[in-house]
Amino acid sequence: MSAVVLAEGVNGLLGHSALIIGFAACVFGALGLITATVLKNPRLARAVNAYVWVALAGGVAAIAVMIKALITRDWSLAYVQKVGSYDTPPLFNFTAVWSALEGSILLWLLLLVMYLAIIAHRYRARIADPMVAWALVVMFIVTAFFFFLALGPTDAFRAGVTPADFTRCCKGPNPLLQNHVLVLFHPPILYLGYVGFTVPFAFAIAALITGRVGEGWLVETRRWALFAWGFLTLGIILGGWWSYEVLGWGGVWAWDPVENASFLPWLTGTAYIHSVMVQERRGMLRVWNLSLLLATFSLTILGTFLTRSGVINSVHAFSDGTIGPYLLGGFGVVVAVSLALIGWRGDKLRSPGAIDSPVSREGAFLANNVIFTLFAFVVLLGTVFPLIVEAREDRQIAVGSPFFDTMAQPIGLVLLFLMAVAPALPWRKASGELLRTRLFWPAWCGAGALAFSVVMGATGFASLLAFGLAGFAAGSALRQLVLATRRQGVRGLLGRTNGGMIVHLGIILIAVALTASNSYTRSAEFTISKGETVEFAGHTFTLVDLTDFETARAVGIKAAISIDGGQAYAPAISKFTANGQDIATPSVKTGLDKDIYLTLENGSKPSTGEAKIKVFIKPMILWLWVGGLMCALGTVLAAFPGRHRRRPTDAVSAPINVAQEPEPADV
Amino acid sequence: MSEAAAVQTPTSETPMPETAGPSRRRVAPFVVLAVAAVLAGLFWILAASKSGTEDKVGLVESPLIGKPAPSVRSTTYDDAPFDLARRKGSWVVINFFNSRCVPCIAEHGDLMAFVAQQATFADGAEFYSFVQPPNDDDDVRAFFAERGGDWPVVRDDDGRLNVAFGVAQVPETFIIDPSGVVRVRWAGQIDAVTLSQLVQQQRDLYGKL
Repeated sequence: MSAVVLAEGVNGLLGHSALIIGFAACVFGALGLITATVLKNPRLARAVNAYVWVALAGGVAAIAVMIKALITRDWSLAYVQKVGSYDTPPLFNFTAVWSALEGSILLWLLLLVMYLAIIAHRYRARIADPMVAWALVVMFIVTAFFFFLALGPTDAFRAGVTPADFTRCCKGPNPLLQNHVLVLFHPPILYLGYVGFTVPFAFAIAALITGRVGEGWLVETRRWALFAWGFLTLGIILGGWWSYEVLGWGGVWAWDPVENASFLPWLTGTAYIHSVMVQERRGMLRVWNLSLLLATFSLTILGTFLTRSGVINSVHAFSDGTIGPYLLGGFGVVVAVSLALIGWRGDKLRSPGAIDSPVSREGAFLANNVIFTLFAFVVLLGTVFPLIVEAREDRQIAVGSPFFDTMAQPIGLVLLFLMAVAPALPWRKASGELLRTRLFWPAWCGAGALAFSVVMGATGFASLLAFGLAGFAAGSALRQLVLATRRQGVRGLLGRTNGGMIVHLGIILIAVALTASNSYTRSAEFTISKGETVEFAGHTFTLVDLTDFETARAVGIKAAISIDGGQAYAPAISKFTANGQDIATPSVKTGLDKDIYLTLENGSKPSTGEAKIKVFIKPMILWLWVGGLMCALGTVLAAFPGRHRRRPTDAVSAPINVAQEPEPADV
Repeated sequence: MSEAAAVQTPTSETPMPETAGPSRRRVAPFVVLAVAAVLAGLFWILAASKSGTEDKVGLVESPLIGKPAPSVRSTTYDDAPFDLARRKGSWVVINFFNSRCVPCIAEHGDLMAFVAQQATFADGAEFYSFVQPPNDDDDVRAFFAERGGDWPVVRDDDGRLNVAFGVAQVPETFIIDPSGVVRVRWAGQIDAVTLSQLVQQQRDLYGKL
């Protein structure tokens, strides 16, 4: 077979040009702004701001060219050969853009330039303020780094080698990525979260560089962090949903390294959006909050490295050896710069205040932070532990869900307890009597939840404790919401505290659903013939039909199984002809109290009418998705200013507060 | 990273308020140094990790190479007992496969050619297929009935052998010398010429023993 490199096509040329222009714009932007800030030249700073639009154009054009190349099946590009095919339906052909490493970097880049443009536009009047300027410099540099990745190590516009046979060369995306519409939503939403943490990171670095001791930078950052956090949360939940609907193993979370990589920044980000309130209210924990933001951003880069470099085996990993060193280098630079800045400025920024009593709101937030950090540490340790062992002993081990589940359970219980108590705690110091009054109803809710779960037949100490604490925590959140709405009507649902309580309710629902589904899932495997009925867990399953099917892309077997004599559900196995990969498609009967999850297993034969099926009875799964929706809703509500929004503690530096009128709700 | 940063920093942060007087102690640099030391360790481990070997086709590393092969006691699909230790004295080639895996199907013809070639030598290598579960018995039998090949096919219903050999993704091929030491691990599809050259190379290197 002769390998001929096609001459660089139009799309390759356009894509490369867009990336080079974007990269150059970011480099010039960063250098220009640094010069303007050092020379204190506001006119230059304003002029430099124009580079933002060039970078935006570059990032948008790059991904647009790739989408066009995929739609027109431009086989001159290696990436189109990798993820494109004539048979892929339009929707999945579009999502093929981010179905492999090179394209996912283009998506990352697109979101990054959009954040960059929004920040630059929003603060265009204050570009001369060193705080804003440095934040933009950081964003320019991060964007330049991703332009560089897209140009070199993960070049999506590389010219392809002419394949011997076009009909056989190009398989389309991984079959798992062309099986469910969630592929359209999960990656971009998750990336909005990941990339969104660049903004608070940039302001944190700027705060350290300028040494602004005041809380001004916080005000800039808080909503952006909340915005990114909301998308990260939603993205993670959607990922779980996708796993449940597509992968056919009956679970939502497997502690896979890629899942952990998204969970790590979520943990530190969650810690931040709690502890930042202590700083706004009491002016404490300044360095700690900065560290959390720096940690969150570093973890997104580290997570990208872990999952995109192939050092860790994972179902999600796009193994590709070439990008690893660059991402690791990027991580190293981010960490080194962060640590150096904290070492330099840390003592100066530290606040003089003290926590009066551990039994106080700030004490609870501190406990929350310790727990979240511990959680993150445990997850990180479990994720990289195989690498540590491999480096020391030259053998491969895997750290699986038993480790994570064992560690997560007590941590989760403590978090539920904190969620129950913290909203009732006043700032500074709580008296026993006050707590008794405030926790009276929530405690009864907890007792009620416990009694209810016992009546429903729940067993197991840890699960019962979880349900009781969940009731307690839900009582606390509801108490706050009831008091707020009684005072302010519908507006009582707005604002950080009240929106936060709705997020709490969502998280509690998720915790309850996970506890129930992890503890009480029952499953069984049956081999049944056509017409036969089996009984399991009080339900009957009748194999109505078992047929072969063939589509343009796949051949497979489909069963029709009637549950309790009712509607037929159709689990299937498809073999995608281009990849030869078997994909099981589960079929789920969703209910308020439980899901009945059916999969068709290998070994089913339509010729004999004999099917191997697996049945999972999974309690309360629906509430997991409801909880996720409530988190999203609560985040939106929390972004609106509440009526009693306090003005931030007085800032030391004038320029920030001059322009800092109450912001419109920009999310 | 930053767990470490996160864990460390509060130690500087929390006790401070109680002790903080007008004179501020320099704490941050020391905390930062401690965190940096931990992260440098992590960084070093990450940098040293081998990356991107999963999808590689060809010779791959394995901790087993140069070490005695894991003990294998199982039965074949003809219900005969199989004990790898009893194969000592001859070169052994083990091919892990699954009847549904596409590269396994693709390489099957080459494996047949290789086995036929080795059969012409007096001391030709012995060849065994190890099944990677889950794989239906009927499917395995149908695979060989349809495509030929009459060498022993060894059961691994609980996947223990696959784990012992560290098989990541079938097909994988191992070459074991007459003293029972693993010499070669090949990941992915292999062709008859390459396989027979590899065996010959190893014979030249490690003799007949």
